Amino acid sequence: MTLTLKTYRIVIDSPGWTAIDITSRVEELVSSSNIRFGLATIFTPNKNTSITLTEYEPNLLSDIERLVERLGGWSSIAEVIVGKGTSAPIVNGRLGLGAFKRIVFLDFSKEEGGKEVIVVVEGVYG
Amino acid sequence: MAKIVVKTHGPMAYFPLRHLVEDYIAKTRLSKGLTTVSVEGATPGLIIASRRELDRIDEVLKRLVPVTGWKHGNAYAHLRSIVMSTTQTIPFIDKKLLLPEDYQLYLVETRPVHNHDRTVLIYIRGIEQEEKEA
Repeated sequence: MTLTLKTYRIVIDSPGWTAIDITSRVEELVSSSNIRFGLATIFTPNKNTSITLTEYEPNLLSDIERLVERLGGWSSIAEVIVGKGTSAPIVNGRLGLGAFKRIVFLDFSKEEGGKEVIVVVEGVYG
Repeated sequence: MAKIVVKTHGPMAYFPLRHLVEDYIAKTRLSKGLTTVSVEGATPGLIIASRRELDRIDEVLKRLVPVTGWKHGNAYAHLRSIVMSTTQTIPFIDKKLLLPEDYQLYLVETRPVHNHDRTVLIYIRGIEQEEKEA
């Protein structure tokens, strides 16, 4: 079987210092790729931004803020601890995240504007 | 894509997966490539770590993210999961993971559970054994 790889770019209109659930946008890309088994890698190249997999719930998002404060409140440390990207398996054409896990874009910067997310979808059609 | 269910208990228990991943690679025709391992759920962790350093790693995780002091019910489990990640990618050569001898890929059960099912997905891609020249 031949491995297919497709790259997509999402631009997020961020107010700065925010968390945005981007799961549905990544799911749309996975669906349009027609890849049935494989992997979606989600990465943010901007300064002081992160991608993580977690439950998207207001209290938990507030706790992530509190964790960042415990780390000294530095955006640059937060992006190291949380990470710039992650991967999610594709099973039967859908993201295999389980019941509650979402793909969350975190902007630890205080700067508003368009922030980039790169989605690389790889796998097989069969 | 392989799906494995691991029975876990917790809190903060470490389950080695290296042999399961290498067993799966061994069943395929691939000789070298990449494996990406993911665990479903928003509270477990997947880490690559030295067996010898596990106590120290456990201590640092607990210090960085204590159990109490958060708003969300089991926030500590989610936050530890975020810090550890729920996915890891490791290269393999000659069907063996490219890790030091004393390193493991651990599934970390953060929650106080017993006999809990954790679904692990293993995705590999790579090339088959190259034929040697005569």
